[in-house]
Amino acid sequence: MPKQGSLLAYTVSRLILALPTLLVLLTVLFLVLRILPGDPISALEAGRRSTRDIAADKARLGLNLPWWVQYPVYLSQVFSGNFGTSLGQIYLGQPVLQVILQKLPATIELATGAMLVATLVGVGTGIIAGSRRDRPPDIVVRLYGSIIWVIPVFWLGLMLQLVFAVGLHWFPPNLRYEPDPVFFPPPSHLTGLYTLDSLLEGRIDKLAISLAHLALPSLTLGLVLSGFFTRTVRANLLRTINSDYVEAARARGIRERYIVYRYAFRNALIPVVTILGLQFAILFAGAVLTERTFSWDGMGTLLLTSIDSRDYPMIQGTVIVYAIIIVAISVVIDVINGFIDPRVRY
Amino acid sequence: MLSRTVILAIVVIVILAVGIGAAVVLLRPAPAASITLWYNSTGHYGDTEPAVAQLIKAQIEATGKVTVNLQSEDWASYRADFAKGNLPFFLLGWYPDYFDTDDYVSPFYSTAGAQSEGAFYTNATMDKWITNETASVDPTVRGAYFQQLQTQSAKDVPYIPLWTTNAHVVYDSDITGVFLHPVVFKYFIMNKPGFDHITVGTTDSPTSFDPALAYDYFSTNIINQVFDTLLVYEPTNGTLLPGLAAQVPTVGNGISADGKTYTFQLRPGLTFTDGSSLNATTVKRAIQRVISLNLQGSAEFLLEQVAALGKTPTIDTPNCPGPCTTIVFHLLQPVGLFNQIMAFSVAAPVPWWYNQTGAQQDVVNGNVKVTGDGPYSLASLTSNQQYVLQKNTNYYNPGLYSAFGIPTIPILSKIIINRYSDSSSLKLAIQTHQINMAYRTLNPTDLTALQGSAASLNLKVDIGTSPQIRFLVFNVKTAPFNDVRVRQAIAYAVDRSSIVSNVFHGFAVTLYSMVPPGFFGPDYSSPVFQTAYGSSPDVAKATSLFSAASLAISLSMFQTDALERNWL
Repeated sequence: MPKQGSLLAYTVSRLILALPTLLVLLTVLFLVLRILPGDPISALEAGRRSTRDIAADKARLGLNLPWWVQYPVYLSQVFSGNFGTSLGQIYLGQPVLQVILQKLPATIELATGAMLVATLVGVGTGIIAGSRRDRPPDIVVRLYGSIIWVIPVFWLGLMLQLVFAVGLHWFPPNLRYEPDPVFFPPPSHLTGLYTLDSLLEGRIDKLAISLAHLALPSLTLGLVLSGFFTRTVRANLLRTINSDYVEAARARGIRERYIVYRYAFRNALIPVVTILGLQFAILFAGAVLTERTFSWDGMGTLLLTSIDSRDYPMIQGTVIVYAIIIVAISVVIDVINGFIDPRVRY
Repeated sequence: MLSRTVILAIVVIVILAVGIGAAVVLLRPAPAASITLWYNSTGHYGDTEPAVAQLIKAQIEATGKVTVNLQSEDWASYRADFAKGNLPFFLLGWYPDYFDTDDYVSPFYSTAGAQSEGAFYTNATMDKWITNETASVDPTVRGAYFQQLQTQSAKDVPYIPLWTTNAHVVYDSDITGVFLHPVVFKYFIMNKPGFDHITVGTTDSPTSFDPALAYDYFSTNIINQVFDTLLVYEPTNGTLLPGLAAQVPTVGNGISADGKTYTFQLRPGLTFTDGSSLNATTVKRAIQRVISLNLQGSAEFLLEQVAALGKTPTIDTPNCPGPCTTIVFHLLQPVGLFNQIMAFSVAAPVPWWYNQTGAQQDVVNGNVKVTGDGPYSLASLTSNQQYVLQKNTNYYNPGLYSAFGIPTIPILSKIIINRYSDSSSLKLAIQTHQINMAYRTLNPTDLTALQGSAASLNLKVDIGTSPQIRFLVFNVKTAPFNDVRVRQAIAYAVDRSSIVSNVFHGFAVTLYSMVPPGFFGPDYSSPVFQTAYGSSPDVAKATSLFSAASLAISLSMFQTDALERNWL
């Protein structure tokens, strides 16, 4: 048995705690979907077929059964990896997991790009503000941090499209790749991540097209998220800059710049790792709107279309995958925190 | 013992009290009653729906007799609720299934049709007229029935027709052969000099490309490029031409005198793109497949019920084996519009190997399994993202439209259709020339903007008529709408021109009958609502009808509140 306080014991306990979290999420999802008015069969057929035919189809799929009969069936299917087949208009009959695996790489690519922008911009501006407290750069950055955080993602996306796509023609306005596969054949499907697939294929031209398409959506989502990073990095940097060990370093005549980057900044980053985990949940929520604005065919678009057609299996599958990703990221972040700051293990 | 005077006084006081009480109750000003207008909030009809609902609300409230609450739902809940009869008064739209005037009448005014529309209207005389017009092929006879049906519809008002939408397409100005056909948007007659392909953007999503399942505009439109039917349409209008059949059946030449037998002669030597043969038995099997599968949400009822083929259709193939080119359909009753249904995608023949126990999957293990006989084949598809149509080099009838100045079809080698999430994305794509054509749907604001900049962007904007109609529905079983005076009052109050100009910037046409004018063959449309209620709102008449029906409306206050509580 791992010793209490060891990283292994901590990791195992976090993994065990992740299971009830998932179960609660699955149950809430199940209940919410069934409390909502409407169901997939009515969404498909109402107005076109008789209510008797609709009732027969619902009975065939077990949708007429009480929730306590449907619930154990639902749980056993989820835990056996069987997410069912789609009942919605667009993906009717296709295995849910197969569709999700098609769309997931698009969202991972967008999330990675956005997180990169958010981290670079957020940490950069946070350092500028924190190290120049109450001076003009600090005021400007604080203003930026507040404003960018409250701007709606879709509005910012639209503005960036108008400026950089329609006005300046620097970037394409939307989609993951050029819409003309005759002139611009997309990279061969290896991982589904267009940037990575282009690299694996050794095609710099395809990589350039993929990155050009990724630029505006990543910038949109990344900038909105960067506001939170800006404010957190600034606050933490100020706290560490005023701490005793930094004062001690100053007393020893070490240059301010060296103090900020060598001592204060590294310690200021520790809480940022924690909020990074929390940001992923917000990132996926924001990705839904960003994907819609940029016609980005990922999980967010899939979720929206599935909700509109009450495609229970697809909504469940999508949210379960989201839940698993977020719970997994939380566990990883907890373990990283446990690694860099041993105090959290006890 | 009370004196007689006291007793008299008590009697007088009681009589006065009752009289004053009654006067107070009867003469008090009527409270403004409230009704609820429902609309879809998730863009099923584009993003103009809230504005339309607001305008109708203001128009009805102008009578001063009624306040209108607006309520909205997502499309899935909306469809479920109106079919269940939960929506007493709501906005709806209709795109025809088959291209005959009957499709603007029987789905609305027959008892079964009205139930599925959420109106629950029933009128035995209307049912009889519908049966009679369906059975006839004589335009004069049908015209008389359609006139009676429309006139009665304006008296009973289970629906109020409002407007027909405009079809639109925006494209590079050097593309030729673009026609906003009322039935099929034909990519195979388009050309772009110097290019062998074009890219198209759309906001539509398909359901399936199996004719036995598809029943939405985008899917059926793609099916119409990939599959031919026995009969097809002329390039620019709804007149039928021979497709897989060698000729269009007429009475005495393919249609029996009693209108119950239809005989088609197939062209010889037909094949699907995979090389498998297409003969009379293939056609028979495909029709039987649609009916026996009866897939959820499909147009199966068009074959079984509207075309009167029944649950177990009787179809003869007299010269099979052998040339196997003759196919005879025996109908349960005369159906004058059978030819039109044979031109709808649901009647498209599919190869023998198509799944007989369920819908054919469009993609199996990464391979496209959509196999037709039309001018294009579906070369690749990524669900909800991209669809590539590729020239069928063995198309059986490249000279189909030679009489119309189009020597050979298809012209372009490839049509690449990309899906965009909404109107604004589609507009950006065509504005930046990411695509060559935007078909469809752009909202009126984006369309106006593109019209303004079309010349500088080297684009063309075509606006045409669309067979889609929009209307208000009353659940005639629910108070206060079970009182015809309330429905008529609203018919007097609505201002169609205001909706068309303020919401659609003129990209719509006012509609005064559920049968829109001038689409298919003889024009049976009659502007009965204009005749009965005028072309501009008549607030005085609406007010007086609301007053006459005030008892029904005050009752509805409780009904409406009760319904709203159910939604909590």
